[in-house]
Amino acid sequence: MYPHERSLVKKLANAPFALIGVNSDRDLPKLRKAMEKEKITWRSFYDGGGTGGPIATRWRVSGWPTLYVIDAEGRIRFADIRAGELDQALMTFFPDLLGEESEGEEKGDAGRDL
Amino acid sequence: MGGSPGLSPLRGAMLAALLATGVAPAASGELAELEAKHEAAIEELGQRGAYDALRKDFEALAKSGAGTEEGLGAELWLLRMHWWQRPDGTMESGAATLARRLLDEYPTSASLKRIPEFDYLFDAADFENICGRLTQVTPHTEVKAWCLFSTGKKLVRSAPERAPEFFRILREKYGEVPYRATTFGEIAAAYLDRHDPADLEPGKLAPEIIGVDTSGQPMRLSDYRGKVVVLDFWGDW
Repeated sequence: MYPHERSLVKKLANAPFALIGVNSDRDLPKLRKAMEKEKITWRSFYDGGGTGGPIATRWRVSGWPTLYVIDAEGRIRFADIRAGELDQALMTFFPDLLGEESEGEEKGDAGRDL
Repeated sequence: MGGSPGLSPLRGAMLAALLATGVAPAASGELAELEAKHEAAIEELGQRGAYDALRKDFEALAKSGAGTEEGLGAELWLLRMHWWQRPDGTMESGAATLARRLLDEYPTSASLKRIPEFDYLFDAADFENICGRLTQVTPHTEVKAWCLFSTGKKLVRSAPERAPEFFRILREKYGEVPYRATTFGEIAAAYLDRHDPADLEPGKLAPEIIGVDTSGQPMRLSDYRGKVVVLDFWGDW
């Protein structure tokens, strides 16, 4: 998931967009090391040091990763989605910035077909 | 570890809880050696294989170390490993029998907090009964707090109308007791104030989140108003 997230953050660097984590790791020093190594530059809430932390509990999260997409007005637009559904959700906001890759992939497929 | 969880999401709080409790506390002597062996065996044989390979050694230590923290540590390892008896359907009954014996043999040990921590091993009725007894016999505030918390958490699934009383007592009497990186007061408050599922649906204003980031800096979800926000509940496992 990290490479994909890094690529999203890069593509949307100049767009009104923020990736915000809610992290459930138990070992904070180890997590900080992993974030440095994986170049995780986006911020995360630290949710109490385990999967049943206060934020995940209030939001009734029982699987990880779980994603929400919230619009600029603060309204939930996509609720409780999985990692594989994220690109399509974000396309509704940033079709120009995110469209290129899928076009490229389509061309690639077409190329193979030929 | 350190890698990406990929596109196969880890579903199910039970498995997550198992992984989260997979790290045994530091111990000394023979128990520490056996635990290190077990960790190494997991790499080689997988979780189930490592359990099968080391079970006899832990059973022997539970016997030879009976009455000591070493012996109890071995018993608690065996308790946790009941998870691997799920396939034959004896997990709940086996775990309950062992937990009851540990209450009789080690009533004053602070390590018994691991019994409520392993709540996912037990049938709901057994668990409430065991935690009720443990609360009475233990002299440790932390063990009592764990009992209230885990009983409440278990009731959220089996009898949700009864859960709040446990979280209220937890918040009022044990609010300052540490729970992982937070306190039982904080986690009890979260259970008493879970968002209505209808308020987490598309179209609803996202509930505010007030917390700290992984560097310890204060942060709020509303700081990002004006931007499209992907809120990503994640873990590096």
